[in-house]
Amino acid sequence: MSIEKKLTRHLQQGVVGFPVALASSVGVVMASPVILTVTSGFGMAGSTFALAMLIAFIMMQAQATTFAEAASMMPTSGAVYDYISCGLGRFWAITGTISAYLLVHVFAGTAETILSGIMALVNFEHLNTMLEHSGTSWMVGVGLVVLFGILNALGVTIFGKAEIVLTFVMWATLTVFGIIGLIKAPAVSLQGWFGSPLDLSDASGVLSLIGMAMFMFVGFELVTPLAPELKNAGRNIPRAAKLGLTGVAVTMAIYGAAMVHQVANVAMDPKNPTGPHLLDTPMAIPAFADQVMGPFGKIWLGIGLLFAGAATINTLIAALPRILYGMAVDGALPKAFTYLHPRFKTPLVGILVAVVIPCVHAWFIQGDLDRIMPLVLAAVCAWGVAYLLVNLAIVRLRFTRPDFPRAYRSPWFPLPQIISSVGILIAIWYITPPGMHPRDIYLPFGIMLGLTALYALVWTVFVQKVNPFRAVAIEDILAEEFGKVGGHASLIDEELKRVASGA
Amino acid sequence: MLPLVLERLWQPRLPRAYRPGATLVRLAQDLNGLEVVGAEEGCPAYRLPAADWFFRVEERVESQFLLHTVSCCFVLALPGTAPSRPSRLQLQHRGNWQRSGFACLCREGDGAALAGLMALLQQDRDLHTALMPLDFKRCELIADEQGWRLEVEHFAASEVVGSFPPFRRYIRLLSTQKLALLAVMAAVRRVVASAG
Repeated sequence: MSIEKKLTRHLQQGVVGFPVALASSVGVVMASPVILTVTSGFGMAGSTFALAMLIAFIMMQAQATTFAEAASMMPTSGAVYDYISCGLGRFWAITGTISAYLLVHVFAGTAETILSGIMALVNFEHLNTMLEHSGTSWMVGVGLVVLFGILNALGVTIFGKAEIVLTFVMWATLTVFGIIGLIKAPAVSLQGWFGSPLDLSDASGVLSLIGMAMFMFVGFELVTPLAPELKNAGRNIPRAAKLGLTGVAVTMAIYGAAMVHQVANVAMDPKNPTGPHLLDTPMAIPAFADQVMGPFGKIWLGIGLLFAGAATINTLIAALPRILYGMAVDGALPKAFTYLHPRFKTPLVGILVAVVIPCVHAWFIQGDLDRIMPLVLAAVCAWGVAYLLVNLAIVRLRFTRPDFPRAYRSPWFPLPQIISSVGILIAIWYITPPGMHPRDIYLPFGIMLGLTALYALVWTVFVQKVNPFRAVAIEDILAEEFGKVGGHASLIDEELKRVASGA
Repeated sequence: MLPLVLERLWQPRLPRAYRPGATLVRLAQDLNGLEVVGAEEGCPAYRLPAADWFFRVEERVESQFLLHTVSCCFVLALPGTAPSRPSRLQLQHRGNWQRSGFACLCREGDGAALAGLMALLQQDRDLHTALMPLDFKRCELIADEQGWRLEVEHFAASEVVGSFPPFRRYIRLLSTQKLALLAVMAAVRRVVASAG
């Protein structure tokens, strides 16, 4: 059977349907940093942020067409890595994938660790006041990491199903709170529908807000690794990506509008009116919950946020050590990572590393919320680079492989790729919001990119011994995906014979 | 109505990114050198060339939040008469930080009737040598109406699949682990046969 026929069959078969694809593309809505970004974005700039959100939304829709075309050509679980490999070569693939996904994980994982504790606690006044005084509320997140580290070391994985339910409840909660917040009479005298009126006098201010708004949408491409399992992937992936982006935009716009309708953005310190305002802080969330549903709302949102954070942390601690174990077995990491506890058979060294990274990072920045934002924005830059590389790869494949079948073609080529690339470059350039130093964002971003590029070069040249910039054939990637079963040698080695004769 | 909905929510379902048979395909490469002697319900059976016994491999899926693991369970049918009561003997490593041998524990069945077999298993030097390098999550001898069988679920020969961030990582079974696994099967088979 030709590779084209196999590809067509592969795209049509699958076990999961459109709803799962949609859920995957909107899954990021649950992350605590995204909720905080929306809250502070609307608090900071009101209608101007809404406009930035709209621009970011259009840009991401254009980007979605690129990802959809890539997934229809290469419906593999490697996704982004495979797209860039086939378009630009392994060096860019390793650099793009590691910086955009693995290292972002370290930064975003830390942000999630700190924020999960802070955002869960803000809803419980007495406990929060007590910890806030000692400046240790971020340690609740660290405590969660340590707790899940210990549980995972004991081999306990009891949270699976309950967490899925809680996460969906949390997503629904945001929507419900948003709708009720909009229906109720506004508690704030509003200058515009989204709070402060539209202000276009400072163009760079608008462009910087686009960078922030982008963060609400990055991650929609997480639907693409589903391609091998998805029914009619050629049609469902573009639909899920576009509808998912729309869903996120609508939910967040409702939530943001409701927030500015119900919570006054007062200065935290009345003596310093130019200082931080309520909507710039997580304290806006309990105020909103209280305004919408009273004390019960605060408890509901508090428990939901606590479990959503715990769920994410549990996933990090469960997955990372097993990946490290696998890499160590392959010889890519020190042998210590293959150590398993004699009784529980858990990879203790890997678990320790997975626990230590976010805890030490959180301790290093002392849970300072102002220091999380630059990290989150640095992560957006790295993610943006991966998007740029995917755009370049797909444009290049249009010229080098015009013959290759595409179940979905990005319309008006290359307009969407140009729109999204220009948008990403602008967003990276203007990513520094007012009051923040560009160095705080570009330095971690540069370190991240430089180290991964160095690793990619060393790995491809000295370990894989391949030309790092030669594009990989799409057929090779697909052949691997379609499952090449290794042939069984007809002869067994000497050791095997010894075992057999011993038996 | 509500209990029905809760029951539906709680009933075991396969993870959405699970690809049946994908881990077995990867394992097939690690089991290079063994003969494939057919497949039953998608579970392939292997044997050493010219050996008179074979073992089956089944996939076991474990769901977690936003990720799942697929491990391979090696199932070997054992000779000998099974006890009248369903029984389950568990072999597990001893030690807190370093492995210091292995223990045989009776998890189900008549402990007194199984004491002889347990003692034989625990005293077997070949079994001890073979079990030490193995990173098994579960190693059990199970007796039911179909007779005795050995089930070994190894830490390697498994796949970790995450959806956020998306990754799919197969942890391969090393050649030394494969040999140790075969030696365990051979030793347990011999001990159970000798116990009658």
